[in-house]
Amino acid sequence: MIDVEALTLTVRLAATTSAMLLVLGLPLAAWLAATRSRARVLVEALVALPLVLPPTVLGFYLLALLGPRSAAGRAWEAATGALLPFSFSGLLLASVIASLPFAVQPMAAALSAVDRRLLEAAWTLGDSRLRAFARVALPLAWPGVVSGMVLSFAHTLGEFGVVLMVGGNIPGRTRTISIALYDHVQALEYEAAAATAGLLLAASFTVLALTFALQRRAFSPLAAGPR
Amino acid sequence: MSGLELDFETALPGGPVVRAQFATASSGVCVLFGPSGAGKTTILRSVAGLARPRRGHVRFAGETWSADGVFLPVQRRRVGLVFQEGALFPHLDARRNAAYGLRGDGHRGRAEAALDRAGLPRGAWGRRPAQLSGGERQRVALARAIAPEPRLLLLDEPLSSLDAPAREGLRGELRRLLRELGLPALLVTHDRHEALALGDAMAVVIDGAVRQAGPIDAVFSRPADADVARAVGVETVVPARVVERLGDGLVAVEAGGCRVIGVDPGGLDGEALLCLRAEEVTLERGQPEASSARNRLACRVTALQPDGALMRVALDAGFPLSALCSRGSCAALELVPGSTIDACFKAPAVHLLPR
Repeated sequence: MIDVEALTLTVRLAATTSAMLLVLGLPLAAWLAATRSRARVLVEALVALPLVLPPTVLGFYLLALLGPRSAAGRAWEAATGALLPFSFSGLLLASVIASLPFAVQPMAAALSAVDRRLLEAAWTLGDSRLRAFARVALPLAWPGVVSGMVLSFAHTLGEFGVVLMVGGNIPGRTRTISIALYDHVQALEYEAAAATAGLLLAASFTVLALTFALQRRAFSPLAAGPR
Repeated sequence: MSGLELDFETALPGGPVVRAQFATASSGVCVLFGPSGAGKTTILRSVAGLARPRRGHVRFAGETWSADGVFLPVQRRRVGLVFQEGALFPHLDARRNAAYGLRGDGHRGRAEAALDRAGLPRGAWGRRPAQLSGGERQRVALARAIAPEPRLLLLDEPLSSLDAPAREGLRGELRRLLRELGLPALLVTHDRHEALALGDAMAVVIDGAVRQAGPIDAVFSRPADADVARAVGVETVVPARVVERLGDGLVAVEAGGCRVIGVDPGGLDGEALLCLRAEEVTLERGQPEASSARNRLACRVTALQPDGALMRVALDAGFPLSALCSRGSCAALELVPGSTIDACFKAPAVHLLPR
């Protein structure tokens, strides 16, 4: 039936990816929302690339960049004694890059929607930029931040191409649920395949429905509360 | 002690250049007045530290806030800023909004004192901005700005987002509050009633430059040029020609075929601009009283337009002329478009600008 080992690994990968995207994606989203720099369009395009590139292309470049023949790969090997490709760390790095637009775009959109005058008001009242961001921008944009994390979680759950290219298919280390599904189909284990596919579908749908419900609840009291 | 000393040039990205050169007293309200888009808000933002002038300086109470190589960040200027539509924090209730700039012990009590002072009813202190009326929101914005005891209060069209009855009510209270606080304040408005009601001094901004600054009555009654005259609401600005010097500092000019007597400002030579405020013109019918310093022109009414509680009467005296009169006297004089009436005004009300 369902490959439980692959399932736990996938959930761990998706959760770690979302957490890392909160740490890395939020400052990037904040920069995109605030900057007037000309470099902005280039950074936006870079962030959105994983949306349109075939995952295999992304996987190929990561493999080439992180493999033992590259400087970065050798440095990682020297530091950790392990190779990035075909390891959980490599898989995590690949997932973070592949899910970057799913996290950054909703976060940046929500932060851009915060009226700049509110931040200016906070500055005149003595707040530093960072403090105003934490006290005003984040509380107003948090549904977008949560969306970004949920979407990147859901996207990592189902990612296939990048995972196969970078992670390979090592049970307990890099074998994720979507790869397990592929294996089931290859082995003509249609019952297990159906169970796995159904689980992925149900999990993704539930997560998205919860996010949308959360956003409605978050915005409605601000938009039109009882008078 | 001096107030603001401004002499700078600034520009929004892609926007026109705005120049400001004037000083304010160390107390009282200075109104930045001018038509929309003239650059008033840009000047205010440069004083607040939200915009950085390209050159020149901003000084307050002898302290340099910005100059070449100097820029005191907005957080350290200790200004209270009231935005046009309040810009309240939507996720915080009125009390937390007012307490936002306060730190440490007793900040709740200080926030409540500020709300009280700004006249927000106690029952509204726990409400969020979306649950407050426009007037209540502006009171919270005011409370938030004054709670941290700023050194300078900046108000950007604080009443313009309100409807007329709320605006007039709050205008009176705002004047009382500004007097009570005794804080120097810079207030942006394009509404001359607001300017007259709230300002002690005034700087007129037109097309990105401060064209005249001084005590408010001086600017209103003695505009420096025709643009300022038009902006502050001298309804009648017409070309005139000097015809005779009458002695006693009086001069007779000819405008639109009429002889008008005014006070000689000096430096008048041939061509001039005649400025006359609608408030100075009274309408009469019947026998003229003899008075040498009075102008009395036979006019035809061209249009009547309500202006608040008053009626604005557009007249043709050979040149277009405006008068303000109460609705009662409009009715008593049976004014309708086309009727004839005499427009009377004293010579000192006639402001002549050399051209």
